[in-house]
Amino acid sequence: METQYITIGILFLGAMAFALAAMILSRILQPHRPYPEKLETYECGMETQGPTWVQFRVSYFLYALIFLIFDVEAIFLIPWVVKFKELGLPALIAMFMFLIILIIGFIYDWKEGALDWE
Amino acid sequence: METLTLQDLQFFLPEVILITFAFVVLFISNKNKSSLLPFHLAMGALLGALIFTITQLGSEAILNFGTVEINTFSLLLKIVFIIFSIITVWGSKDFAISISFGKEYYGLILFATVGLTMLGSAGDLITLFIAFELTSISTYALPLIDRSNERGREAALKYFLNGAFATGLVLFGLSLVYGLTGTVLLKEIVPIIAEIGYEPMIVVALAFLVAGFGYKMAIVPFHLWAPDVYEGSPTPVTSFLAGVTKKGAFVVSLKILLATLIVIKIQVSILLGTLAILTMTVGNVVALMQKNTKRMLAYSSIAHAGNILVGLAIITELSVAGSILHIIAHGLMTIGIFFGILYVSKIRGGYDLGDFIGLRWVAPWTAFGLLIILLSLAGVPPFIGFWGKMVIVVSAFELGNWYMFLALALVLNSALSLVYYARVIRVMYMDNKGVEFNMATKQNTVIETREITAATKEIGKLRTSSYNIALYVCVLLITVTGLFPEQLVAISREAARFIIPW
Amino acid sequence: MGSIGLYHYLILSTLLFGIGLYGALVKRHAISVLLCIELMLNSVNINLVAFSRFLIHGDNVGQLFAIFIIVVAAAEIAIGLAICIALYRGKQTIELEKFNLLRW
Repeated sequence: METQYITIGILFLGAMAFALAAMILSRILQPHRPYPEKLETYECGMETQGPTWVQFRVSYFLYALIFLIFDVEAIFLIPWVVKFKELGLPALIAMFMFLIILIIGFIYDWKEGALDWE
Repeated sequence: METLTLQDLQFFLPEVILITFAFVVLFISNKNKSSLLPFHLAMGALLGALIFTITQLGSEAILNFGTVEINTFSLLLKIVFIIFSIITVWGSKDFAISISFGKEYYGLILFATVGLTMLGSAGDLITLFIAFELTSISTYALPLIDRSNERGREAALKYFLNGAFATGLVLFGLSLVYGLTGTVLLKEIVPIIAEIGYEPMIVVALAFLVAGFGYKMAIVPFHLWAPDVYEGSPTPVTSFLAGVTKKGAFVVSLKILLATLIVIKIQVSILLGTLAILTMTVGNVVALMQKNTKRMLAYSSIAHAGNILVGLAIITELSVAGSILHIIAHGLMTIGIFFGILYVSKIRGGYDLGDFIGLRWVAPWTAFGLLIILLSLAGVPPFIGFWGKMVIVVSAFELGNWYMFLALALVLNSALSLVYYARVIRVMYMDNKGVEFNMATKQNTVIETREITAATKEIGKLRTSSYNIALYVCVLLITVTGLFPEQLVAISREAARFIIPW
Repeated sequence: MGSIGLYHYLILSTLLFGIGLYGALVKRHAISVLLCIELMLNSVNINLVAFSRFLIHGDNVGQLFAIFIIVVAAAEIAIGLAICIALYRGKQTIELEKFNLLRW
């Protein structure tokens, strides 16, 4: 058993050493002559336009928040679907109540304009 | 114990009413900001829930595989929390009209109330956790409710980060309890832990639980968020957070700690006792130094958390009954006093001690109401604040030895707290030409009298303000329950019997 | 040594919880603190699922608990981000040190 782990350890160390060696070697061997164009942020070879740290609109975050909630609802749906036949009618009613509550929340978001793209 | 039948659903009627109306409130049109419709709907829902809960009194049931228990404890807490919410909603009538998220305010309070009503009746860790998180998550947004209030936003962030952090700690403790016992039902946890006997894991679990609940209850090494949040939030929200939500944290801790501490009862008792003494002392000493009454009351509520913790530390039926009684008492007092000082700040412009000068001449009834609540907070008989402490002290004397020391600390701290409560009373009842106080507040007499005459014109309009109504309702309840405490003490004892699992 | 057992999971979850705890206490950026709290909650999930798999055979209450924790964590994150957005609109930053109206 232990030998297996030793192999993994050796492999891990070897991989690290290889990667590090490549980086150190290139650092030693490369010529170092920086000029402004070279120091610019690499963006597919084009000249960068505007600040690189773009800020996203807050509207994206609102969508993300709403998505988050409705994404997680699936976590309740899947176990229910897997055991659908055994659980029967009570679970169906319970699940529909759950979904109705979620949909009410969604309609509220809609009504309050959270989905409008200003 | 089997699945729900249609008959069992009647026990959920209060919650169903609250949830339905919470959604209805959210769907009211935004057009008319000063409409009282959300207020009436919220009040109607709460009153309906209250009536249905009262009709259930005396019944006992275990529903849905033991995850929901209906007994004296759960019904008492349901009624108490619904009454607290009614007072808060009633008092916030004027506040909700003045903000842009009025209906959301009522909606969030209703959702939080659903969580709180489920706390008492939850019979397993999952239901308890969900109920408590429903309360917490609804209230995280409350300090934000007033858009113009920048301090409220910071209070919300601070409250949220601390609350979520505490949730993490509590959950880790709960996961260890589950790992140890293999069950989440509170009723089953106790015998299994007693059978296993002492295990290092239970100590670790309890350490996490005490730390996590310490945050939620604002016990002293974990209390730093409370004064900032309570000061920064709009005052009606503060009253809900300090008076209602935090009491929910106490109920959860009572239930979970009592179910898990059985094998190391004495050690836990010493730990909680030490924390309680620390909490009371630090809370009171820091409160002594505050000039801002809102912040002072925040520290005073920390000190009262210590009082409640003393009852939990003694771990007898009587002491737990005392804790329950003091939870109810402190809830009432906190809601009342925060609405009282909100009214004062509306007519005088601030929360500083200087704004209370000569209140007796400006708003005599408000001053009288504040006087009664302050005396009750200090534990002066015959108000309800006295009886909670009294029951806890008596239970300590029954056991003797080091519990006497706990009782002594509680009594001494009550005496200490009287100092700063009395300072407010003295200022309120002082002549507005009082020379002695002017030095301390650096306000001279002439300005003070002018302010009073200028403010008097406004008062005619404000006298019937909802803030005052909440104050008077609380004062009435505090006095009535304080004059006739036997019934409440008896109910608390019966309730305590249901959550002490041995 | 042997095949992966309960203790491996417990060590992993404890490590995760420790990292989350450390980060939540030390980080000075609201979003980082939020992520660290998520880490704490997820370590609890690992704990619960491992317990329900290894200790309590045939009982899946632990997994159920984990599902509920995931959902609650999502709700918590949603409201946390909403609070952060509200704060950012007011102050153009969410560094915790910049919030000094209340004494932190």
